[in-house]
Amino acid sequence: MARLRSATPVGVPPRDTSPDASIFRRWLATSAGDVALASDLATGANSTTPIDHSGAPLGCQLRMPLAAQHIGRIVGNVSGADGNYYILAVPVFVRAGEAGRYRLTVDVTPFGADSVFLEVRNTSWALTLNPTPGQTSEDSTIALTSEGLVQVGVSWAFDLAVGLQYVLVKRLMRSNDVGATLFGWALDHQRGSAGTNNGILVDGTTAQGSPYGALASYAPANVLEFYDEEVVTDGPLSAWVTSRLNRKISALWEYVTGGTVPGNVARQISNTWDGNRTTWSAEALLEFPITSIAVGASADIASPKTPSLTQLSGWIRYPDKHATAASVFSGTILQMPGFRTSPSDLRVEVLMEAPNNDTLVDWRFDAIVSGLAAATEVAPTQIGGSRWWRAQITGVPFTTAATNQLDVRIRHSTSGALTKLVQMTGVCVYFDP
Amino acid sequence: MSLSRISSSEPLADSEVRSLAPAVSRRLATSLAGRGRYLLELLRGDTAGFADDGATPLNPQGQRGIDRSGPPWGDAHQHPIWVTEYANGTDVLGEVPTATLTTVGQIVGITARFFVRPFYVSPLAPYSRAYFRGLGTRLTAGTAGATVRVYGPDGLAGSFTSATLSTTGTAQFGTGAYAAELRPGWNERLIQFELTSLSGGATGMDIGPCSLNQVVRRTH
Repeated sequence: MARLRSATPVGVPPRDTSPDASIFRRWLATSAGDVALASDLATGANSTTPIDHSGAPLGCQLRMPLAAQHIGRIVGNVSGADGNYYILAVPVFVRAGEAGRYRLTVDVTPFGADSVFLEVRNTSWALTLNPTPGQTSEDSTIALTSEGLVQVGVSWAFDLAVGLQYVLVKRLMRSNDVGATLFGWALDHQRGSAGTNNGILVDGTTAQGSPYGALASYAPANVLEFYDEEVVTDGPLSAWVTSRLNRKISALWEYVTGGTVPGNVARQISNTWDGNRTTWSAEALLEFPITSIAVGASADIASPKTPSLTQLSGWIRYPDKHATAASVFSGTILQMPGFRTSPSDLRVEVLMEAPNNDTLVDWRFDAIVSGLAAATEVAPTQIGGSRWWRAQITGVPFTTAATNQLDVRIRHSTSGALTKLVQMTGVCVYFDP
Repeated sequence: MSLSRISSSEPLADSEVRSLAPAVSRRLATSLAGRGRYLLELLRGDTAGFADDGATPLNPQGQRGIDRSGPPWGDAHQHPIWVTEYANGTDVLGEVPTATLTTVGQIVGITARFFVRPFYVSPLAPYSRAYFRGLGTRLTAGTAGATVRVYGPDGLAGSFTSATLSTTGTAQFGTGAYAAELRPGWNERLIQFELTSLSGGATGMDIGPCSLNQVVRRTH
């Protein structure tokens, strides 16, 4: 038998549904075929490329926020001389189909007439955004904490490409600017306005008494297929077809929207909430940014010393010896989505600098979620001949749809005193299947 | 608005499609044919390839299609929306806790500023709350207790939710604290940590990494 499934949406002209119109085989078959196509697009079944939210026709973009971090660190210049410093240098990850306008905001103490510049560099360390001064807000007091601190927000609206890239914020730090503070930063899509209620036609919140039965869930075991022979010209209008088609559409509706068909017998989405759609093995694996984290500035260290003696009051992160045991340099606690864990698509990108232009090939980086095995450690690679290096840790084990305590670690392949200087500046956590 | 193909969000009751039920063309065709097109629009993020205006309302982002921001715009994914970072590596320098509390009754507050992606605002919407997660580590041997409070948009004058922690090592704050009534767009919350007890020689508590996370719970 030939399975009914439209190759592309066919649809039914409005005239076919005018009052008293004949019930044609063509719209009934088309309806079954279009629903089968929708089902395949949602689930990836039958070798269909599923929607991955990379833009039409593969689904609306997700436009997840990329970062929002409280730092609250003194970054004052204690070197005794004016200098330009990268107070922020982080990797960021942009999903496929979501290249475009983004907004970066950095909250700092006022800086007089000194500009703050943004640079964006690609994975070859080529500039994709030339140094650009930010737009500074008026001074404001941080009201909620009653700390009496004065801050300004410096912001940029700029373009980001798809994939990994590096966002760097450079500030001229004057030698007498010893009390400068970096309060935090955030990176998100540049949105015109956030919507709220858009005239929703579907009640996605209630589940009440049922006027009809529904499929138990939208799963391969009970999703019904339709065949050409069931909807023949001059054939009977069979309840066998109409009732099954109706139920399939209702179940698919709940699967796609995450809501309940009004009046349905019960929520049918328990196994799909939070994106935990393990029922369908061919469903799209999504690229998904979790967050980017700044861990320190690019502030020169000529030799190992305590953070308070580095040039930016200790807003710097580096190992103080060549230790062969892994040591945590970035710790976070994060809620992870319900994505697959075997294999894991979770990655961690580390951006670091070799302040003395040392080779960093003997350093090792890994990531570990508390209670799970560590990811395979990797050695960093130099970025485009610069003094900047990167390490990409792949396949990080994580617990799906749960809180994960994620630590990123560093060690050296041989023990000894610190001779290969490295300072880590940023970490990006993301899913990239 | 013009439509070249039927679109509908109306479900049918079983009674309308069972044997011997009246075959009402408009009802059957509208629902059975129209809902397929409607779903195709939601999935593809366009007018399903038809040269007309489309029939689905725009999602909270102002775009067409489901964007996984919660029902009815797809099931919402869990993810953090605001973080602090802290590590206590033995051979790494430059790490500073989110807060350090050393005196019972001491309170430290930090401001969380974060962006919430647009979502359909309703009381039970999964994006309407952000749940706090955090780690606390007691200083020296003994037991330390702390409370975290997440204040509403009115700050100290408004309501708050809280969670407590008592630990002889490193432990995680529970699920009790959350930032309620989040709105699409920029949000600002005060998060306060208070040291509530010290015993057995403990001298304080370091507050480690923290985060606010969305869609931790299925329903609120």
